[in-house]
Amino acid sequence: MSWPRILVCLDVAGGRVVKGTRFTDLKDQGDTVALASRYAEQGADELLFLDIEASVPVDGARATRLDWVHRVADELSIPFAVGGGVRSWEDALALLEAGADRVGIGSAATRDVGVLTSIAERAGAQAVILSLDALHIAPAACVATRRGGRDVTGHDALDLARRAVDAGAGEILLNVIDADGTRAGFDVAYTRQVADAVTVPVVASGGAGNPAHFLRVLTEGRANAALGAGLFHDGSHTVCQVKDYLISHGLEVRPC
Amino acid sequence: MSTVALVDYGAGNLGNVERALGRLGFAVRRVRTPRDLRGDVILLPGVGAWGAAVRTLAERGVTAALRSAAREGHPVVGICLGLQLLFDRSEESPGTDGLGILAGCVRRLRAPGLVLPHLGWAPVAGTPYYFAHSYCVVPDDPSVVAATAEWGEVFPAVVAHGVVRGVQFHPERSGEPGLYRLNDLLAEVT
Repeated sequence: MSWPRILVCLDVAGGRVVKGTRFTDLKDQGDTVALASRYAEQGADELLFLDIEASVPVDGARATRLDWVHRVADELSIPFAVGGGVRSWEDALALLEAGADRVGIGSAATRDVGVLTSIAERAGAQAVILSLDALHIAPAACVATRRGGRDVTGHDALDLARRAVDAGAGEILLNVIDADGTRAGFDVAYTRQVADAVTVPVVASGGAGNPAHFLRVLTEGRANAALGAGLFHDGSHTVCQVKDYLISHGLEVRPC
Repeated sequence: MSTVALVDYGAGNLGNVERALGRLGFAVRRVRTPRDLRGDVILLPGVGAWGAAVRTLAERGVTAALRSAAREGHPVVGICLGLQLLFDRSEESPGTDGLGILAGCVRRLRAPGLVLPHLGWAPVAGTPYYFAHSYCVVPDDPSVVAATAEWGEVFPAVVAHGVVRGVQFHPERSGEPGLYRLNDLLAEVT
């Protein structure tokens, strides 16, 4: 049986890893390739790169992105996904050809889930991740947002997740905006709601602050994978520490 | 130095297999036409969907060339979808023919209560490899199954028959152990 996965998310701007609070106040965290290698060595099962500039149309931005995706692929021998600004099969193909194993589609899928179908038909469902930024409007209900939570859509997040799977998405990356950046833990209840509603793997995102948070969302939250960012970037935890904690609490993961 | 003929289905991401082969010291020739199909071993990589791959291979005239190369005893290695394409047909796209190099079919994993695609690292004979698939192969001759993995059911992870090899996982995405495994697969048939 496959083990639950621990992912590390790296926000990229201008080819470098950055971290900010809700997409503002960006601070340089270091070289994309060097950080990617560090997390691979720590035992990350997969990496997710979020190109946070990709939704802003800048001349040459696409060429810059393909350059760092190439460099990451040259270095890594574990899988990685790239998200941000993917609107079409052509966008996805460019990333896949540059070396990404999988692509994340966010805003474009909130406009038309058909984009997921056009990618899945050619690249296969396993290559297609719905990147769902969900914002609570009630304790048990979320709406889908665009641009990392800045624009609220009229779509119920659970409903969009279901339609995305029907359209061909092979995974849901559920980022609950309310928890994102808090380090107070994943939104376990909502993650479970989404995981119970779809037949594809769910990656929990938003709120990871310590190893116990991972354990809860991978068990009670029924997530197949969980993603951390800040707690790894600031050096307060390593991926291996999280994995050791999970193993010592009876949850089998790929040893680091 | 051995040369690997790497078959392109037009679905992107040949680069990672190519990089892995480069690290192992193999020369790579990308195959887009039947004339490109020269090399010590033919490698069918694991990118794309069955229907689109079958169509692209047929349109480029590579299908017939692959079948005759295999008939003549040319070594062939398949990864993930590339393993599946070695067989006759798939539930993923009923009515389209695979390469028929190995007898059998491809069907959706039966994993009641579990999610699909099967994504992540799973042990094969004790070593973890990365899987990303919803379908598995069902060879007519069970003796070609060299190793298995499990996701709801036990399914073939490594297939071996003569100079044909196939793996359901992605050795090129499975860290150092994956690279060694890819090297072994290629060494076994060349």
